[in-house]
Amino acid sequence: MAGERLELPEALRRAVAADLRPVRPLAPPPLRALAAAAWVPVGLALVLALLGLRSDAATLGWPAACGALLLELAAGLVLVVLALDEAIPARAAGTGRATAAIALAFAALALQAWFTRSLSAGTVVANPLVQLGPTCLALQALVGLPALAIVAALVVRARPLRAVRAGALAGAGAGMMAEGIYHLHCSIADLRHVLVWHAGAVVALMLAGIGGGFAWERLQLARLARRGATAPPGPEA
Amino acid sequence: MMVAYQGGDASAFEALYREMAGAVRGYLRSLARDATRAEDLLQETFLQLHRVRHTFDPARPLKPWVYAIAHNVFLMQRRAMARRGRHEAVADDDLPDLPVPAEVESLADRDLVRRALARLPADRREAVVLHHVLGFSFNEVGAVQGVSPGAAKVRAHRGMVELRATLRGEAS
Repeated sequence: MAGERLELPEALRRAVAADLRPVRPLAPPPLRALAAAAWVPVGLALVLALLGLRSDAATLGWPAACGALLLELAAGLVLVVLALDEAIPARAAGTGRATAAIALAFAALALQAWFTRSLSAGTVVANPLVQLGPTCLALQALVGLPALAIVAALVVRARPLRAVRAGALAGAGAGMMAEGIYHLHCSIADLRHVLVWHAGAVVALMLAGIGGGFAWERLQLARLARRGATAPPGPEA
Repeated sequence: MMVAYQGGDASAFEALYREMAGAVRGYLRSLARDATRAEDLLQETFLQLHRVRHTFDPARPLKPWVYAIAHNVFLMQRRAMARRGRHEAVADDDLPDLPVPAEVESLADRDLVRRALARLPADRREAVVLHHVLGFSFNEVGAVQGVSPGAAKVRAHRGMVELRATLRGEAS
């Protein structure tokens, strides 16, 4: 099957010749993920300056507070690396590994919430399922949006063909990084609050990533349809 | 070759095309089961390859990268066709020259093997072609299909079992 040598069709030769500028190979995904990590100190500074440090920081202690931040940042960065991998042909994690990674990230969030609760009762509110929940969700999602935008730009640079899965991983990764940052502000340690509203913000960013992936795929499908299956290839618009 | 191509050398792209297009076309025929469509997909694959040439890491093998692009182009085109309300239809008489695994060639005549191969579920047929015809490792098959090496192995194994069973059934 491998034997036949085909000559390059003229239309394809012209299309390629129209854009033959030298390109630099993309850096490895772990290195590119550092661009998303660059948002962390900025986000952290903004949250602490505008919203303040959690009120039970002294009870919790710096090792525990920073440990939770580092755990969630690490989980987020792993997801971002997987998203960047997903966008590159032949490097996709596969549905099973992607799902497992997202599930593990949520498990890390739950573990961090349980550990924090075991060290400090935090701010007690009458109804932790309702009170302040939507505010936390909105603010945390807002903290994650710039990280998602950075990761999305990195993913799009690779022109992904499986953008929905890459988007889900990118959104979950940005969401976990945002949760790590926001954890240093929100002192409501009740598990119901954290698992519904904080995890909800991660889900919201994941859905935003999936939505972006769908939009990108629709754009690609529309381009493919416009060009038509039988039309000779032309240079990219 | 790829490094020269990434550096802007047009002749390197031509060499790449000459080197790989024949095998990629056979692979696309096994996916599309339609010779004309496979030709379109081949051009689209190399056009897409050109657009994403910066995603190739010279430290990694070339073949899985090229075939993963072909795989994704096929999936995208199938979805585009579905959106336009066109469905894949394959008549037995219209079967292209599908590549056939050497392990089953002796079980029946070539046409029969091709028909049996064409009737396999798409993911298994693809794994059979990649592993048993093109000689990809299961790691590479998994990379092309976007699944784990274990899942790729299961697909190829089940595909071959199904293929042998069909051919033995036809022979008896």
